[in-house]
Amino acid sequence: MKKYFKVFPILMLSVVLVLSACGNSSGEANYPDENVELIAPATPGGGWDATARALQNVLDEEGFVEQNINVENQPGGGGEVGWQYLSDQNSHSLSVNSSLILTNNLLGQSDLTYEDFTPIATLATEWISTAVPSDSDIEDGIDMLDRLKEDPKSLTIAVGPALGNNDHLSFVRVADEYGVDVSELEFMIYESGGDVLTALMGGHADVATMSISESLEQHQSGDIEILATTADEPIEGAEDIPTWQELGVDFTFPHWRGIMGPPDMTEEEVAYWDETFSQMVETEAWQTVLENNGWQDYYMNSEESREFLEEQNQMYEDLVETAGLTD
Amino acid sequence: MRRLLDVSLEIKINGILIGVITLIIISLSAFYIYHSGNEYHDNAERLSLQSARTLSYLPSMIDGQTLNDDQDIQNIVEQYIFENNVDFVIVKDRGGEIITHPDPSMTGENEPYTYDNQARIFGASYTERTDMYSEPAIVAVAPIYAGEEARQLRGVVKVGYFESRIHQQIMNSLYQLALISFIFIVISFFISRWFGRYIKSETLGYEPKEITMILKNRDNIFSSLNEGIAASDVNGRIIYLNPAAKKYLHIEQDAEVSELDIYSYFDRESINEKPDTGDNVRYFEKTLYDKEIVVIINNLYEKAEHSGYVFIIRDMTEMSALSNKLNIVESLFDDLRAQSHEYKNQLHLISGLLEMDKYNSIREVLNEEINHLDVYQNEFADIKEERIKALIIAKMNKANEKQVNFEVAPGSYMEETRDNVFLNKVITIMSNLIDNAIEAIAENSGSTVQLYIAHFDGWLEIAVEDDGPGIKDASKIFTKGFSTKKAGNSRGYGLYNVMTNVELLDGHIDLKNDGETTRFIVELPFSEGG
Repeated sequence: MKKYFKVFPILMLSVVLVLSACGNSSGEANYPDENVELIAPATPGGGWDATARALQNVLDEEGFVEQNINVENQPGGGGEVGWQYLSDQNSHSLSVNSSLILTNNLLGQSDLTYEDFTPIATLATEWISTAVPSDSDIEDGIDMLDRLKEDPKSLTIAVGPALGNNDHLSFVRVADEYGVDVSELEFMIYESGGDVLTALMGGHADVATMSISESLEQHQSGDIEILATTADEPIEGAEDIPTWQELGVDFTFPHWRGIMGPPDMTEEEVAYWDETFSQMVETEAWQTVLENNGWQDYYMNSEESREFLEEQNQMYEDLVETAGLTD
Repeated sequence: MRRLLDVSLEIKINGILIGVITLIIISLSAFYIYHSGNEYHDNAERLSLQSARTLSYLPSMIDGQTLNDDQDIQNIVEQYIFENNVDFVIVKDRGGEIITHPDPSMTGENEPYTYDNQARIFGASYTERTDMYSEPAIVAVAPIYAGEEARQLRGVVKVGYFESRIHQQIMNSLYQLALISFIFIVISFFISRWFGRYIKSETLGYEPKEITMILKNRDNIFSSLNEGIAASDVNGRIIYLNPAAKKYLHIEQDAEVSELDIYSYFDRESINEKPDTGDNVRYFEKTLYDKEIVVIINNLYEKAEHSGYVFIIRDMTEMSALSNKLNIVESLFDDLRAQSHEYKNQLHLISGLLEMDKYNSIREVLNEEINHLDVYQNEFADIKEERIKALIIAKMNKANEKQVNFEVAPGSYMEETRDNVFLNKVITIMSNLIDNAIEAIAENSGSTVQLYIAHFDGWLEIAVEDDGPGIKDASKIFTKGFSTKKAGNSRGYGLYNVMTNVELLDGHIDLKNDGETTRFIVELPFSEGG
């Protein structure tokens, strides 16, 4: 009997040794050492897809990344499908993101949060405009807000493709700031930005909220009139359009786009992308992309993006929780 | 604590086993309940959210740009509740007017938007825990949109699960679990009782304390003994040695005994020898480290199977010294008796001669007597071993008494030995041989018995010769009970004893019978001092 007790610790020791020998010890290779997958969590043709393909072109043409970059479309659920997919990939997959990564969770559409990923960069932003038909009797932005304050149901507001997106949130935010009872606002929800524009021009809605890239052309052609933008400074080429700040409503609202990676990326990998993107945004090709899409440079590196996301998340949280509760 | 532990072994085992099993069962149950509780909760959240969404998407909930008739919605909801496992459904329009409610009287009332405002403003769908209704509930909220081309948010649907129902489910599984746990604890109770009894049967019904006491007592008793006690298994591996045994075997008192082999101290043959008697006890004598010991061996049996040996080692040094001394004293006593007899005869003779005035004859007698004394001294001056000398003197006197000449052959000598076992056996051999010879010729007066003893090349040679009638049946003489002498009890062992002792000493015995003389020759290996 005694003998077995003597054997036991030896047995345990050997088990431990065998187990520890099985532990992996793979070293750091040169990153990236395989093809980079760039996930566009939307169908081809949308904003995310455009961002992904623009990045693919610039990074490829300017020779920043030696490995091939492939764009992978994973549409569905307002980004949910693509980001779920990303969360299971290795560090050679990146995805385009936007504020939906924050609002999906806040509005109960998704269990994923921005903290489930590694922020890589914030690249560009566009601003959001509030527009009325050209024959509208609304004089300016403040006039519109006054009318809504008087009777929130007096104007119908066109938005697309769903409540809770940036166009919608930014309008709610402005109205909320101004003291409008946002819970009474009459939003008309259209399938796409194009439909919103059509509805506005056809007089089906009194007001519309959409990104500047969608509205600027019609504004310049005189079909609609942009009352204000959420930008922090006048829009290049359309300096006559006031910002909300200029109208006395103190807020800006970027509709930003960025890049993030799967969870648990190493510091070296993040540093690689910081270097790559900080150089890329300086290139001529990238400036052309921004110009063609009506975007503005909004570059932030990984660390800055993380702080920005936290800040934005707090802002959205406050907005969603307090909107409609104030009188 | 001490008092708690002061209970019988059976209770201890029961306590530990039942305690451990109960602990395991209870902690596993708690773990299971916690998890299944979470799961029930998650399920309720998921199902209520699913239901709320499903209801909000139902085309029949809306009519064009607005909500459907109150009655229609109530019908849909009632059917949904009937078909699905939800507790209540509330539908209200954007203004907060309640369209359906589990409490019909609430219909048409206005319920302000509080926690469900996110659904109204942002079109969010989510679950919340709320105390707004009759009891705590998990409520999922989903927006209802109306419109074809341009959709508008027209109301919200709320689907609720009462937490009490979730708790009920948890309680149900808890009852089942409790029942199963109880059964297992009962089973474990029986198992532990059985185990306790089993252990008790293994310890022969003794409590561990009692066993400790017995062992301590045994140790004390064995330690106080002068006799060595050793135990070994059947392969000779030593299991136990008491302090005295360690002393006999020259083993350090604090040495570990389990690595030692009893066969390195005692011969395998002496240990394994089949006992003559039925009770398995046997013994042998041995000289070990200058001590003459007797080892008594007893077989140990476990369930009728031979499992080991118990050895009792007794120091015989003093006893054998005593017995040798006794022999010598006895011889001297015989000697004195014989000599006084002899001298009495001589005195009678001298007195008779004096009567007859034969003074020359008196002188002759006296001279002869003086010579005889000298021879007596000289004959075995070379025999250095005192005890053998004593034996010879004793036998001489015996021979004298029987009118037999007994002489020691010239050139006889013997060295001293310290091996008492050897010496005792030699004494037995010589004494028997000489006795036999004296007996054999006792009737023929004038016959002579001659003893020769000498060393020869590491051997001790002893020869006893007589000129008696000889032995008729030479082949039988060494068997037990054979005797040439006439009937009588306790006879016939003499030569058998000689034979046995010669064999024990690895010696030889030879008989030469040439008609005139009968001579026994014994050769024994002799190592000086050993």
